[in-house]
Amino acid sequence: MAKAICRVLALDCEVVGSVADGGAVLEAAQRLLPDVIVIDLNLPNVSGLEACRQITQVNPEAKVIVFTAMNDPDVKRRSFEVGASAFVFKGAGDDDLVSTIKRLCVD
Amino acid sequence: MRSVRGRFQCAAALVGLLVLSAASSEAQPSVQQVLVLQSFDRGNLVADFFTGHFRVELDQRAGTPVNVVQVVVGPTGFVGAPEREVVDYIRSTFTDRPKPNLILTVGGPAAVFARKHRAQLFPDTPLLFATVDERFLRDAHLGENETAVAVLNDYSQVIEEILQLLPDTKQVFMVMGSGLLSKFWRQEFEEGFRRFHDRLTFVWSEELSLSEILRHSANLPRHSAIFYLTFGTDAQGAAYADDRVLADLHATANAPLFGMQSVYFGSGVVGGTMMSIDNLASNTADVALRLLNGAPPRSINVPPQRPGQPIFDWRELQRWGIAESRLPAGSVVHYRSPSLWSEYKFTFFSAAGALVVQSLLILGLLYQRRARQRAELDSRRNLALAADVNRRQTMAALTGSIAHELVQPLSSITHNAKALQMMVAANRATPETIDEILSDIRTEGIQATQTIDRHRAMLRSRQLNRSPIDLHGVIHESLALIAHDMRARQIEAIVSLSSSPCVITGDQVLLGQVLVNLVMNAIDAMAETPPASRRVTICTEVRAGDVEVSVRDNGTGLPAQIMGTLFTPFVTTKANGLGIGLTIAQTIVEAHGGTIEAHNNPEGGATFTVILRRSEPKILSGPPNAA
Repeated sequence: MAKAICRVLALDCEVVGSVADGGAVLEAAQRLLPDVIVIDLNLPNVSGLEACRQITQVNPEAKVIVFTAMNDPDVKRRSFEVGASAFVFKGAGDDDLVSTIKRLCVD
Repeated sequence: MRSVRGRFQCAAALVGLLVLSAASSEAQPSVQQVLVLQSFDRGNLVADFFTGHFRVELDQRAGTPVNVVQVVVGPTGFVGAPEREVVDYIRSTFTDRPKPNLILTVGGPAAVFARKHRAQLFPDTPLLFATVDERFLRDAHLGENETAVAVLNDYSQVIEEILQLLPDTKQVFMVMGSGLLSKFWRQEFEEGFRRFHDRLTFVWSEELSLSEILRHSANLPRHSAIFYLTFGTDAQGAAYADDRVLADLHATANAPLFGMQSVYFGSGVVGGTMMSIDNLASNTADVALRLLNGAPPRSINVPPQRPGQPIFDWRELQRWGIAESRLPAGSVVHYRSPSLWSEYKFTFFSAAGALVVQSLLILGLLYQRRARQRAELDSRRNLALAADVNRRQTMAALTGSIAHELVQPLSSITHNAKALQMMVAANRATPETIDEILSDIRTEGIQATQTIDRHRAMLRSRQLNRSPIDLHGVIHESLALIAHDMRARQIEAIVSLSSSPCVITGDQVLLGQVLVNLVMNAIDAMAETPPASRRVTICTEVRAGDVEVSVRDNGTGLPAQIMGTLFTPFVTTKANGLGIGLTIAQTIVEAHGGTIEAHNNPEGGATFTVILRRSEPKILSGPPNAA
């Protein structure tokens, strides 16, 4: 999944890294200082929401996009509460994630 | 007129003497003395039976003791001894004792002897002629001090009865021994039977030995009969008892045997109008008592006894095929074998009763068996329904997981397709990249298909469908179904499976349902457990005859109040649970011949253990899928 997203993003953006662990995403966020971080909520070790909260606390400039299969209003609300800049449902159209990244970069 | 008396005098010339019961040397005056003159030695059935019964009757009726002295004066007695010596011997017997109070003769020869020597044989003593043919008395009238209990034998009636029973009879073999007595009777019979000569031929036995008689009896022509009078001695002078001769004749003869004396009845004779020796003995004892009590002999006049009611031996009638319809009116049939019905009536009723009871029991058992089969069928149907409900409920609870499981590969496919499309549009797609992306798309597609198949199988209604399955594969499949939920709830699954093949005969989907239920219960039980400690451990242990699967958690453990009712329907600790999951699990396991039990772990949490019978590995259900 991450590999497919990286392929799409790589056509318009520079993908600086890809990790598969809740703990690793915190380390990568501090080390790579990306403009946009795309994060799944269902991650090993540290959940996506907790990772989002810690990233936005450490690096408020980072734009965190919660990219999840859980199309739940409550999850979406909690995502924004912990500092997420956007919430994208995985089952949505394939342009949503790219267009959201572009929109956040312009903003 | 031919003199019967004269012939008996000849017979009496051969005199014998036998003292069967002598008085004591010093006779008591109060004892009545009876002198019995026998015509025949022991072995003559008529004389033996008569004498025996006479003595019994006399002893029973006499008020005082009676002493009986018997002497055989007939042809089988002292052969060749002069009669005078016999008379002297008899007189000497009473030299030192009182004279006899009564003289009794038994049979014709003894009667002739007594008459002949009446003057020397205590002429003052009353003389009673017993078992003597009435013809004797017609020829020699009774004296002043004499009386008789005579018989009126009608031997022609026996021949008539033979012809009535067996109308085709052509020959009658007359068996009556040899000697003077037989010569007398042959002449009597030839005269009396003359009227049958147009229908019958009479063959006489007095010139034959017993063995020749038996041989002749065994080879008689068809339509023959045997008339047995008495025997005594054969042509060779050998003496034979009646019962022996009758037994041999009965065993060897090929024709039916007839006789006139009741004592022969039951010994092989067919029967007929017979002279009752019982009655004769009883009547004689009666007269003897009257004489002993002082009654004048002339005052006692007993009419001659005639043959009694016709009696027949049923066994002989059967043996010779004589229909009972041919028997004379008033005949009585003895020795009739009880009919099967009368003999086995009780047995029949007992057997019938037992059969009825047994049949009812069998019917009852069949009814119960059918009811049980129906109940088992219903139970299986209900199990299937309940299992379906439980499975759908479980799958509904996993809806989020299902959606996630499907969204992941579908989203990957979508993004890979988008990336490829953009690469092609930007002319940046190399063959290697295209191949790599298409390969990823295919892998994701397969993953999505497997997810759909797995869930569809669990949602399909089904009956118990046994086949050899790899239980380890079932465990992996089950964990794959709930893998997302476990990740979402931060549950660590530790799978420790036996290295041995774990093949059982069972239903893969239903057993998968059991495992999903147990693992989901374990997950729910760890809701309050810190995430770092949330572990579900699934172990298998393969033994010789069975396999044990355990699902262990480190949650809150099982409440003590439900330990005994854990598998009872509608018992649950979950706020939104129906309480049928474990019931269904138990039913499924038991339907597989297995057991399920649960216990709390000493260090916390609970362990559910399922034991299933193991089968030899034959067909594996395929390689296990990774969780």
